[in-house]
Parts: sequence; C-alpha cells; structure tokens
Amino acid sequence: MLRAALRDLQWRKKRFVIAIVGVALVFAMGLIMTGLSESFSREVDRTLESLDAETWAVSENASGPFTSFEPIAVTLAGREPSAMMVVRKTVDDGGTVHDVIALGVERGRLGAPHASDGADLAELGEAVVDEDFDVVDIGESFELGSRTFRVVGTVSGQRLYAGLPIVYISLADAQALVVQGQPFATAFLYESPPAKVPRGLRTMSNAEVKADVLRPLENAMSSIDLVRVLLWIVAATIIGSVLYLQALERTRDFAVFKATGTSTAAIGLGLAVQAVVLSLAAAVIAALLAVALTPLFPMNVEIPASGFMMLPVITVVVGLLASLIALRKTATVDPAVAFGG
Amino acid sequence: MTARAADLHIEDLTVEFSKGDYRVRPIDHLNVTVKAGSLALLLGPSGCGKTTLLSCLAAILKPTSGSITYGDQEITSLSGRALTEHRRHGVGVVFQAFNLVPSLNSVENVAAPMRSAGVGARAATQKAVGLLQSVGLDDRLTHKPNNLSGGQQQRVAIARALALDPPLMLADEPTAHLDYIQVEGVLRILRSLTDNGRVVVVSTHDDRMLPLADQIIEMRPKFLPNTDVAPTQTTLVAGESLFSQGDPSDLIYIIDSGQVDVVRDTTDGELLLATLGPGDHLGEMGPLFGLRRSATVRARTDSTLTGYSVKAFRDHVGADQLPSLIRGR
Repeated sequence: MLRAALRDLQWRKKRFVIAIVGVALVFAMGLIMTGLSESFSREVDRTLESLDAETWAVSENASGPFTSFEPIAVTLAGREPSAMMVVRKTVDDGGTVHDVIALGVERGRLGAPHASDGADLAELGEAVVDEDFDVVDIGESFELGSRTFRVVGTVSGQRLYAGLPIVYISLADAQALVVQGQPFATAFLYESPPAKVPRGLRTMSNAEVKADVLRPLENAMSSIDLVRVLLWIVAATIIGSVLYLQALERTRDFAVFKATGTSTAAIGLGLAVQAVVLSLAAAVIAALLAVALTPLFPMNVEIPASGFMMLPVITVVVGLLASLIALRKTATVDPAVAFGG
Repeated sequence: MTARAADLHIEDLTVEFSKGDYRVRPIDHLNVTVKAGSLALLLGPSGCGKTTLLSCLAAILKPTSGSITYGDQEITSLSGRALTEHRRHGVGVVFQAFNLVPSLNSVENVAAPMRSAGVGARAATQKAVGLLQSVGLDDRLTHKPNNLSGGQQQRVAIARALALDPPLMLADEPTAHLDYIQVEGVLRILRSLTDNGRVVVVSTHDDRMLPLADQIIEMRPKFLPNTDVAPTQTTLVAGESLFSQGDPSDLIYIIDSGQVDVVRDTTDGELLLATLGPGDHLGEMGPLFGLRRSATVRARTDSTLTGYSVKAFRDHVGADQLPSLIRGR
C-alpha cells in the first residue's frame, strides 16, 4: 500500500503541491509567530546580560526598574552598587517620533555599555545607542528631551518592549533630563546579592526583572500564542480537507483493495503516509519561507532553533490528526462498492 | 486440475436487504452446483441478483440464509483472517468497470494484491509481468489505465484477478464496456481460465456469451409461461395473502368482491399502500415487465379475485387501455 499511496501522491501532484504550499505558508506564519514571541523574551535577556547585574534594588513602591519611575536618592545605597536612572523618552526625527528607553548609567561602572562599534561613554552629552536606533550614525547628534547628545558608539540587540532601542547616557545627563539634575536614581545594580539593602528599597533578581518587563506584553504574547494555535488548526484543516476529499474520490480504489484482501489498516497506513509526506514537505518549505520572510518584518523576529527542530514533529502530529477523518472514511468503505458499474 | 480445484455448491441461498425504506430479495432460495473446471454464466436482466450472487461468492456480502461451499470450505461462514485469506487467495474478481487504480501502471495494478498478501516486491513484479504477458500486454506494462483501451484495461483486471492464482474466478459483466473486437480477446482469455480446473463464474445480460459457457444459471425469476391460460378465480379469507413481496409474478388480478390491502415491507414494518375493492385491478407490473412482486396483497375482508395471464388481461381490458392502466398507479 505504501507504493500505491506514493503513486497516488504523484497522480494528484497538482493538488498536493497546492496543499503543500498552502500548509507551508501557514506553518511559516506559525514559525514567525514563534519568532516574534521569542524575540520579546530574548531582547530582555540580552539587555539584562549586558547590564551584567546580579541583583537589582528598586524603591519598595516600584514594580521594577523598567516599568516604574520611583526616584531614590543616589546616596541611599552608598557606593557599593552603581546607580541607574531609567527614562522612557521620544526622539523627534524631522516629524517622525521614535520611542526609546534611555538608561542613565555611571560611566565605567556596572551597567555602563560596552560598545560593539565606536567608543564607550566618556563625557557628558555622549550616547551609546542600540544599532536599531537608526535616527543618526556614530558621530552625529540627536535631541532627547531638552538636551543634545552625540552618538559615540553602538551596542547590538539591546531593546525592550518589543523592539524599543536602548539609549545609554550618563547618569548625570539623565538626572538633568528628568529631575533637574538632582542626585536621584531609579535602580541600583549589584554585582552580587547584597547582605541587606537600605530601608525603602527591595531587591529583585534578573528573572524577576525580566518577568516585570514582559508583564505589559503578556496580552500580546498570549494573543500570538492563540494565533499560533489557530494557524495549526488551519493547517490541519487544509491537510484534513485534502485527504478527506481524496478518500472520497478513492472510495472505489479502497473498495477494490478491500475486496482483494487488503486490510483496512494497510489502507489507512497509506493515507497516514500521505499525510506525513504532505506535512513534512510543507515543513521544509515553511522553514525556508520563514527564514526568507523574517527580514521583511519591522520587528525583530528570532525563530529559535528548537522551533525549527520541533516543526517536523508538530507538523507530523498535525498531519496525522488531520487524516483521522479520512482514515475513518476508509474504514467505512464497503468492498461491495467495487462491484458497482 | 490444480490441487485446489473443486466443485462450487450454492445451496438454498437467499439474500434479502433493505434498499432505502423497503426490502428486496434479489436471490430467493437459489440452488446451483458448478463443476470444477467449468465456466458458469449468470444470465439475466439488470436487478435480477447477478452481482449480488458474485458478491456472496467473493465473500463480500453475507447472504440472509443458505450456504456457498467451494471444495470443503464454506465461504458463507468465513470471518476474520479466514475471510481475508479467501479474498486474497481463494477468489479473483474481474469487476464490471475494470476498477484499476488510476495512479498505478499495469504491473503495479497486478502486483498490488500480491504485495498486500505479503509477496516481496521483486517476486510480485516478476509475476505481474508474466501475467500481463500471458494476456497479451507485453507492450503495455508501464502504461497507466488512462493510456489503455477498454479491452486492455479488462485484460489487466483479469491479470490482477489471477495474481494469487485463485481457484475461483468471478467476472462481473466483463464485456459491458468493450467493443466487439475487444470482446473477442476477453472471451478467449475467460474461456482459457478453466483449463487448470478453476471454476469461473461470469455474470452477464449479454446472451451472445452463451456459447462460452459450460453451464447457464438463469437468474431471471421463474414465471408462469406468458401464454394464454384461462382466467382463474381465487378466494381469500380475511387476512390471507394473495402473494408476497419478492415473489415471482405470474397473474394480473381483478377484484370481484371484497377488499384487499396492498402493503410494502419496509425497514420500519409494513406500509399500507392502498386498499382496493371490486373492479380494481392489481399486480399488473410484475407479469408485464418480468419483475418480482413489489408489494404484498392481503385480504382485508373475505374476497374473490380473478387472475389473468398478460394476454388474457390485455384481451379483457383492451390493448389500448394498457398504457393508461400502467400509468394509473
């Protein structure tokens, strides 16, 4: 029956090719959705990793260093941790507004950027920006709030909230921007967990900070997950429809097979093989499509390797589930149909 | 003769099944024996049960009662693995519409039953090629059915039926879709199939095939000769049946006195079609067209009816009245 199943694939190749392309598009969209969801998480990981803090301390009233603006006196924690001020700002680029996250950091201390291109922060009025901040190039200036900053270097992949680029400036510049130069910060960064923190502060691990950053994106991520499930259902529907239609068309073939002693299980196995071949072919094309389409998205799409590795497994499961209705149809075919004129 | 060659016995075979919302009995207490090495022709019009009988012989349809025995094996009692084995090795079927798998070429179509029976790919292919050569298709081995003529497709179908060398061979209307040139080749092959003791049963409504047969099995219901027999009067007491649904048809009746019910046996029980009284006629369609009774007629009250042969009925009502009587109900 295996040969008959494969021959039938050849025989109806136009239909199968159309189905494979359709399913591949759906699988590719599923992969891209996975990549979108993954990029939300990965950008936070990269940003926190580059800041290199083991523990964070924020105001007791703050939900986290990036989601709340609760200034704390810089002197409150002494000199052990480095201070940071996180500010959400916009940059006007000739009428186009760009959202950025400005991190005021102590130059040369924990949290200060290590530029992958250009130089690190050295002077007031300098900025190190994420490479996605494409308003200006290194050496050029831009307006942030009431102040002008000159880009001296860039970092890579440091974004939050689904692609907002990080702009590193000195702590003093951040203080000048938002608290009239008063010695305040919104978070302290520790290299190792402190024995105790001053009253009015609370500590957070990187995992807690990450969860706090992702919290506003929970609905978006849940929606993406839901769309992903819907896409699997669409793919299953396409595969199931094609196989069921085929089972209907091949009723007489199946009746002849049964009348000549082929078991229903063997006929069903042939259909299952077709489902697997269709699914795997669609998976291969989907992977290529996803890689090709990813650069077209305005947002960063990072499809994890596990996504590619799981795709064949998921597609085969989807394909087999989708073929169940067709399998049921084959089981009910009466071999007496073969005697019809 | 082959070691498996044996006589085919059909004993008191009855098949009755529901069709839509009513019951039909295409085979009614059939008794036939076909000797080993002979070709039996099932002859009769459409709907007389030829294909139903082939389905029973192929162990695809279970009869309502009776038995079919080939050698020492009762086909009608097979189930499970034995049934599958019979379908694989015990019987080969040539279907009316060829029923070749369109995506497979000739060799693959013939090899398919062998592969299902566990024969290796190489051996199955070799045997398929040999069988196709034996039916004269040496140059059509890799052609798909849509590139074969009707006669060539039929020969592929015959080769497929022979794939596992069954001792019993069935062919359902094997000449139905063929022109006279193709028919000639297929008839020669069918005739040669009995050479090694195989029993071949061929269904047809084409009486040109009669010379082919060792035995004719007439599937048309047994009717009274359609001659000018004198009208006969029948008296029924209330509740007594004149005839039953599925019975062979003989006479057309006119009610002299009393009332009768015309009822049809359906899957939900009896359905009253009509109640007829004096002067009404009934049962004309069966004798006129050679059909079985399509309903049961039962006396509602004590009744008297006169039965007429078709000719006598025609004389009685006038030949010009028959069309309107036929249209009437």
